[in-house]
Amino acid sequence: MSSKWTRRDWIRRSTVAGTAATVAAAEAATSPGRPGWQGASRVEQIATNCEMCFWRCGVLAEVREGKVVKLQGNPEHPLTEGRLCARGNAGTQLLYDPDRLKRPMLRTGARGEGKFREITWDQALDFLADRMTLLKQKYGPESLAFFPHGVASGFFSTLMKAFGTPNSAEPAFSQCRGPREVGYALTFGRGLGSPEPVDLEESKLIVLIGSHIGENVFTSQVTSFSTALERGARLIVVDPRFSVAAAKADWWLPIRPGTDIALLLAWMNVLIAENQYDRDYIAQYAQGMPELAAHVREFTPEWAEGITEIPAARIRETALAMADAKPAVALHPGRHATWYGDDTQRSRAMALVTALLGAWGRKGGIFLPTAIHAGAPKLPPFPTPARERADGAGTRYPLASEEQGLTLGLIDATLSGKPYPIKGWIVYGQNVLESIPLQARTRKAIDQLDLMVVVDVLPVDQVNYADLVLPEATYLERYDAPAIVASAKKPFVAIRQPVVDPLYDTRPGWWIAKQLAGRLGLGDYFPYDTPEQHLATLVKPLGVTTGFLRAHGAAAFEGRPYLDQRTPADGPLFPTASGKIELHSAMLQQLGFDALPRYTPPADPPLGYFRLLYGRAPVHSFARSENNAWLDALMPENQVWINSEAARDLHLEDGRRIVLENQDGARSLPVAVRITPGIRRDCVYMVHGFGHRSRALHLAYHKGTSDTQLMTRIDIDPIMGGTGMRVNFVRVLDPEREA
Amino acid sequence: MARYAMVIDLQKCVGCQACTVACNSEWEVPVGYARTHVHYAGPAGVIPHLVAGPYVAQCNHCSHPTCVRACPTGATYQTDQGSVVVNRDLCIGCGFCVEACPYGARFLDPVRNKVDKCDFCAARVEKGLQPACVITCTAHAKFFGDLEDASSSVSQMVYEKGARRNETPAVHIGPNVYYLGRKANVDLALASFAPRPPRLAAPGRFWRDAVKPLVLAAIGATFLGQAIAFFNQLVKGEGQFDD
Amino acid sequence: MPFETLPIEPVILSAEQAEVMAQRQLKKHHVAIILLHWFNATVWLLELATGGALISSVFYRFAPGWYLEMLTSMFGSRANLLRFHIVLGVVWTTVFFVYGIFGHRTYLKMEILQREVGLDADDWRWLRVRLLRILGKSREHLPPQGIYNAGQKLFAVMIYIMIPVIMLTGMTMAFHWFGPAAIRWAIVVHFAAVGMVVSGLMVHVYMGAVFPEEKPAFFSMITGTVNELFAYRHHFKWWREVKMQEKQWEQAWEREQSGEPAAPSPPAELTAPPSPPQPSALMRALRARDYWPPYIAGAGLGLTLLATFFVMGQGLGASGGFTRYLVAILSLFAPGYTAASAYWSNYYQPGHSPLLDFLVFEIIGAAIGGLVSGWLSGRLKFTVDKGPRISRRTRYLLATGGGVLTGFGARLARGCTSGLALSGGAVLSAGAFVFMLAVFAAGFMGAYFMRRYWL
Repeated sequence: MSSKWTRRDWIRRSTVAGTAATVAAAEAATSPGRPGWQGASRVEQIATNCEMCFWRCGVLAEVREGKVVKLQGNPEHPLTEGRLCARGNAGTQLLYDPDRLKRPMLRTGARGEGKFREITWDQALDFLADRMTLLKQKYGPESLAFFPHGVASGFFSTLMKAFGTPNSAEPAFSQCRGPREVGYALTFGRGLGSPEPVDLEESKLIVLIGSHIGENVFTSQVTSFSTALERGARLIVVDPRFSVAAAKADWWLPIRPGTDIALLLAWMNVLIAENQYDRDYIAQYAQGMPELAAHVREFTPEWAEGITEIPAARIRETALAMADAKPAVALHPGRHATWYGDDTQRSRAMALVTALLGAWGRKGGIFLPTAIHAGAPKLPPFPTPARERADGAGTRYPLASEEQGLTLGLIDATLSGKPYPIKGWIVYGQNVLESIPLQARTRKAIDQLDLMVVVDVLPVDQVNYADLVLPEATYLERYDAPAIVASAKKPFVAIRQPVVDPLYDTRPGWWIAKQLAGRLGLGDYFPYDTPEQHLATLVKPLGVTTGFLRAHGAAAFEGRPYLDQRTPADGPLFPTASGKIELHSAMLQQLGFDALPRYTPPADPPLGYFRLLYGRAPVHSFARSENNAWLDALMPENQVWINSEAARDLHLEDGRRIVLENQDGARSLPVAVRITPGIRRDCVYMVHGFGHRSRALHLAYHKGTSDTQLMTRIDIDPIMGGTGMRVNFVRVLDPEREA
Repeated sequence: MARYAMVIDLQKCVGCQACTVACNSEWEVPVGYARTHVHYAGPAGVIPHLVAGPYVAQCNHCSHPTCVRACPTGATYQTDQGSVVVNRDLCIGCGFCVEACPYGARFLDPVRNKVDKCDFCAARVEKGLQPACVITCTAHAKFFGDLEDASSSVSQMVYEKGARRNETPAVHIGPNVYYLGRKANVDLALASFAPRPPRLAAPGRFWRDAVKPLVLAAIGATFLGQAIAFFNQLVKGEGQFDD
Repeated sequence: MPFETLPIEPVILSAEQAEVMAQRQLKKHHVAIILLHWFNATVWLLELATGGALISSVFYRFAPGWYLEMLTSMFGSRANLLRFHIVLGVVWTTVFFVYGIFGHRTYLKMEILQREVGLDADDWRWLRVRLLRILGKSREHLPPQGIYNAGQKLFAVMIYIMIPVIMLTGMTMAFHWFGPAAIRWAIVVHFAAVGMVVSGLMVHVYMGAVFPEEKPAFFSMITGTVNELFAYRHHFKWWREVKMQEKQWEQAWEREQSGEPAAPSPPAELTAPPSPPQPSALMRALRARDYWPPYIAGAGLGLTLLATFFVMGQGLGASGGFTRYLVAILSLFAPGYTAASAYWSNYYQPGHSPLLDFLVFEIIGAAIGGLVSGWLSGRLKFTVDKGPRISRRTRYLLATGGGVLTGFGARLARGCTSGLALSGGAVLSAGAFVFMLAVFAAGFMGAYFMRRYWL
């Protein structure tokens, strides 16, 4: 059976897909507002969902005299139930950000210079359609690469597929959760999706490996996390840094960076050696247990102590604590998983521990998604691209997602012209300069392009390199495709609808894509006149009306999150080749990789250097919220965490501005040090997203520094092409002493 | 009578600042100012024995508020529900109360030129809504209610779970914001953000200790002189002045 | 005539002399001074009453709790109390300023200040004797005094210093001038200054209302006159001045009666006005008629209005433009207040000049146009249009008062005769017609009461 089981089948079955349905007529639009209060003033509340990050929390926008005066959580939203984080609350400051892109612009200066002239939408779209057609004639449609991110990118993806290019890549895969999706899918037959179906609130023990929930804020995840703590769940935090979560933990394991697989192997060793794993569960659902047991026999806690610098006793103690709590152990699979280039194997190891504890598909562990079957507009078939993807997804990197692609693969192909020339980029909602390492290469690649188009809301640095800039309306001004979310205990559909008209001369993404399609003769791929019609088509089979959604924002359905609730309609319990949990991965073996995870030592920092670690702050979303006036006021810049003892050796005082220089001589902007005992001596830490280089971002410009700027080296995961970024080392330069 | 209070579970709080921003937008607080703000204490100690944790700062609605006495005009006052609120119409923006608050919970709003601070969302509570920070709190860490009502969550947390308030032996003016959480973390948070002794700003001291006695003395002396004169007038009759 | 020659020092009067003098009245206060005094007294009474109730902190207050409660319930709320206190304070300040501007030639002269506040040796002696006499420790005679006695002068000195201080500190608090630190000190200084004035005021009031010797002074603040006997006894120096003046007038009268020549008048050629320059041919043509017939002027105005609608997309107006000038000035001093005020903020957003408006420039244009028109017609001259029976000052005061009412009314109606009646009428706004009716009706009625100022 496994011989017929191809890589493509695996990928197809490991994602949850919707089914097609017929087109339904749009309902008559009624006003979706309801009365509410802001302070002591009356307002109208309109339900929509948030896009300050990608979690899509439910929002009630409070509108007074045509102005959004406040955003608050939508209590009817099934996922977030009225809760909203700092960024969500600050959304109005994006809407009313004076620095927003306001009109379509055509570049007049050199790339990067930031000189433009404003043009009309007709001119802009005609220009773009002409250039795309020219590229198609000269190099073929595949020469156009698409860099999307966000919910609205679906409209553009449709356009790109219709145009005939397979080359689309987003950092969400190869710079973020790709290894995790692949590692878990190899083991359980399906990845995790977003939001992560981790049953935190029901768990008795939560294990966070590098996850810094609390600093990394996704509203409903924080709610579940704190609910669990209140209910008495215990907490293990594995992190070189004393994170917010670590401060709440029962066990904090300050691990040596890059040695997580050793710890996970040792945990498995204890669980198996002491016979503490869920034998019934493994016997019923898993295959490959003998191979696993044999594999981990040598990886004792004592072995791991020398590698991880965590005392063997602590390793044993925590393993047994997990065994005590099983199966209600929520070992969080993490989200940003591209660390060291062996990340698929680390995710596999985490999946194996989860399996040994019987936590997959069980209460308090990882729960299962329940597919809801939305409709789809009737589209003509997409043309089959004449050439394979240029980034190596599916070929050079066999398990890379072909839906999400490899960003660096496309950048490489642009630079080398191999396997064929990439001459045009359309960047939509993604920040190719701030979110992808090796910035210098990205800039060089952009230099070689015939066409660079950026569709964005704010004038981030990449805008300066664009030939054509298309200003998109913010999420509060536009319709987007609805969020159809399976990986929640109660699957749901939630909509985004405009709460005010677009400001300036901005347009919603769907409109831009549809207009462009019309000009390219691809209008048939957008068989609706208004986004409401599109919405009606999608939600018709769900038995919920657009009127209901516009009034309430979301509708939830029954979920079957645990294994014992599954019905045949949900498909196989474990959609792997064997139909079982694959502790020993035949797929990896077949592709020539380790069938069981193995620890490979990471390179150590040279003398005088620290490993550069990075993470998130609760008030910022990567590099996209630093120009938000309210969030800027809360956190205007990042700081570099340096261990107190290391700082003493370097004669640093708290708050001093320093410059970091990496192993290749790349330097940071001046940045303040935060001297703290809360980080190991061998690494430094900073929050990602700062150090903006675009002068047009008046609040964010040159505040703090960018970690991406210091990433001139990456370790690529050979299994799925993920770019390990925690392999850069920095030393401290004191600008005052240098001068 | 009621006694409004807030309980903040610091073990649940992750310091995400949702409360800060929700409050800012609910009350149109100018950028750079806040009625409530989450601070972070620590990490303190030596690896691996470290302590750290968030601390939520806001007006404590003290039972014996120092700010009310410092306010010359009565703009700051205590309501029947025990919360301390500011009547903006009466506030002249002198900032005496800002100096007087041991918790640094007050600020002068540079747009309105009035003092501002948390008022337990009085306008929302009046309409039966919860305070803006409470409903947005991603961690469900903030609780608001009436301490006198035995069935309220705050009352249970204060009287049964032993929620603590931020007081020192020097400053104990009956704050009505309570903190729950792991002892070591709460100890650190309260120690890091302990109240400072209330201050009466220099002009206030000058007023209370010098100007007021002097003015009263001057008026008193004048009054006394005139009383004697009046007495003379009565005793000797008015005729004496007619020459 | 009680005296043949004026005595240098007070002498004992005979009963007959005293009788005659008691019957004669001398004019002491101008009616404006009387009005100002009682206005000032009323303001002080109200400001003290409300101000005392405003200071509520136990640290600072001196009024008892029941008094605070009484005043609060009288005004409905403490906020109203504060509003009243501020508004009255501003009115008070404004009246003093207006008085200062219009009365400065008459009252702010050195010799008058000298009369009011200049203390000489007699005055200092007077102060000592007065105090001792009041306390019953002396029967010494009081030294002779001018129109104001030394006590009054002393009080005047204090209020001349304290009133500006009270006004400035009051404004500082009311309009948040100079920042919080200044406001904090302003409260204290305001309080201290008022405290000092109050202790003086107590003497002032006691003297005027209770103390028997000074009773004629009290009544003089109502009638404007005192009897000569009182003046002789209490303000001997002033009495003597008045008498000397009377003597001069008498002598002049006698000279005129006896036919002695008066002082020669200047020759006629020096007083004749210079002959005006000859107007040019163009100006002669333009001046064919001094004023246009109203029908043509009216049509011209209509066409101007039409052109304005066509070019600017809005009509003509006046009060809106002046409002913007006002907002511009206001925002210069109190931008925060202006932006926060529900009314002013309609015209002001921080960062945008309130002056960038058609009406603002239209007013400048109208002024220039009027000037040009007057010049072309040869009507350009400095003049005050007024009724024949009133003085220029009365005309100024009435014009100011009328202007205030007009401005207030115009903003109340959201437009004046230009903006609302003319431009509004042109677009058939109902409000414009109601406004016009009201203007004519009120004008018709008002004319009856104001006729004597114009006829």
